[in-house]
Amino acid sequence: MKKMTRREFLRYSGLTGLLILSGKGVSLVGLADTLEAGETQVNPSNAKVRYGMFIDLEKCIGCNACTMACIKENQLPEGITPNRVLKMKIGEGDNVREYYQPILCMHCENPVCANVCPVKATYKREDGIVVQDNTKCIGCKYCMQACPYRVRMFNKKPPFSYKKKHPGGVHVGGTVIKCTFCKHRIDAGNISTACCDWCPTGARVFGDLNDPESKISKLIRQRNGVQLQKEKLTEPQVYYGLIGR
Amino acid sequence: MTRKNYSSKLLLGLFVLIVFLGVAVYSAGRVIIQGQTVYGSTDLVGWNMLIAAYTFMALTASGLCLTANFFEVLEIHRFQLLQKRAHFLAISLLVPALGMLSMELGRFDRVIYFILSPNFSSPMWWMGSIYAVYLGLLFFEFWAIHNNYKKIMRATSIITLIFAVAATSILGSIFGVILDKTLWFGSGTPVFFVFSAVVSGLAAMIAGTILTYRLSNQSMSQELQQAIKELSVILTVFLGIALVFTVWRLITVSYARVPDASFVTGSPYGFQFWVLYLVVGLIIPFIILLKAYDKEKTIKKANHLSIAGLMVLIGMYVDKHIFVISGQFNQPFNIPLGTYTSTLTEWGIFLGAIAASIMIYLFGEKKLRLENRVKMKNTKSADTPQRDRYNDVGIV
Repeated sequence: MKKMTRREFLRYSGLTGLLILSGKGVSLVGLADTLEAGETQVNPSNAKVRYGMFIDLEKCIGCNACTMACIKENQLPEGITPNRVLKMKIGEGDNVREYYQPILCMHCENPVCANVCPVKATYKREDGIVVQDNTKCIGCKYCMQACPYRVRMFNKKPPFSYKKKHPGGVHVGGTVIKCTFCKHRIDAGNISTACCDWCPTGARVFGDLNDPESKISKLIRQRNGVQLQKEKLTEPQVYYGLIGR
Repeated sequence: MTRKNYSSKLLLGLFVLIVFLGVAVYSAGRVIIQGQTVYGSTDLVGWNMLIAAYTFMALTASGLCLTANFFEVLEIHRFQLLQKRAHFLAISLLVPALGMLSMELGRFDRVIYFILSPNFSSPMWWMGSIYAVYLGLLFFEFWAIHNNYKKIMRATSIITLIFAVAATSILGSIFGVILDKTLWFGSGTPVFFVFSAVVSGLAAMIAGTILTYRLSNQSMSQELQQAIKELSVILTVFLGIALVFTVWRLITVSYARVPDASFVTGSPYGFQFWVLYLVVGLIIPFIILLKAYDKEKTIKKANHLSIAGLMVLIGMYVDKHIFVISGQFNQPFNIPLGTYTSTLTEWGIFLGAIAASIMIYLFGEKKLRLENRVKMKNTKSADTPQRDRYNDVGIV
């Protein structure tokens, strides 16, 4: 075997160091892949579209079908409900009226959860969907603190023993779970979410916000759709049709 | 070979520390096997008391180094006696603190992604990275102090000082950047953390030094007594500032009727705030320190100083606990307020981390000669036998 000179050793060491530092080496050795198979590393999203959702509060009857659909579609661990329905009240005295307000990840245009994630486990795709790479999440819960909508959940299950397959990846114990707008469906060409499909009153509509002729865009215009907590400057992409408007 | 005689109190203390450490190992095992179901945190109150405890210990470690290096940079040589001890105390606190923090992470095995996939816009990334570098610098500087490499010490002290301030303020910014949390948000939080670090660091330095001498039945040299006395004066001033700061915090939140403030001043943290933080942590130590000197301005009872230091440390922990937990209670959209009750597992890990800190420090005290750092001007040689070096003005 040929003996390596000192010069060659230094050259190869330097090259290896550069490769590792640039991150190329990391993807070549596929370190992420060795952890858990799940999240697609390739981003198939389309930059021309910007997905969002419209929820008509007048139509929501609080049946929680969307919650159940989400749990079933994503095979969520026990107690994890990134999509839930809140019972609210409007008016005072005799004029008080109850209504239901579903909340889920708002897939913000300026996602503060992605900004604070120390390891880029949460990121925004080109099509506007904010996703979570559960092969990277370290479970620091900083995203949960930063999210003004409290729609991120922590999977308290043990870190090394709990793996449950679902269409979009693996639910790993000790990581954060969030709504993905059923991205596994979108990536497969089915532009709809499970919660929208299951809603018996059609209160939820999913679609492309960039297309002015899409059903969602028309509904937002017709119903004067509003964004929740706009003052938090996150530009949420879920719009609500309010009660009495 | 002579057999060493250890006092029964010391042996009992060591036994208690080992028990606490054992409990911590058991608790950590439970977390790994059962997941975070053993913690009291919820989806609404995601960060539990381990985050508060980490914040407290990391700030104290930064404060110790920050104060010691500040004196070194300004060439105030009389505090050099404390520099080595301060650095080792900082290391003793920071290493278990980081271990404790890893128990709060859901997947601590993935910390490698801090290097492989860094997010430079995240304060937590900066905190983790800066504290890692800072810990390395602490070890390096301690090595330089231990070997009395003065030039390296001088250069490193400036860099470590900068990193101590940076690490502390960035730790504050983790909370300060969250617009959604009224009690956390704002540029004041990082500044408050630096201030809090200095107070904790001073208290730890005073209490740590006096208790060490007391437990080892040694008496302090006059120079050391003088340094401790001056540190306690500085701590008194800082406690006064902390009191003014707290009063203004109360005035501003009451004036603006900040809803979250009621969690601190009323339920559920009213007792902890008024009694444990304000009275035990600030007012009583402030009075003790004011009354610690006689007319000749010499220390009357050093034990009082160490008690005051310990009380300040308790107050500083309580302050961080209240800050971290109560900041998470308020919820949007009429969601019921978040609730949190700490669990035995959390306490086990926290007390184990404290026990580990004490044990590391005791090891350093025993093996690394923490008391003699450099040959002081106007003092006898460090090689002089111990009996000669310490005079009998002892405060033990």
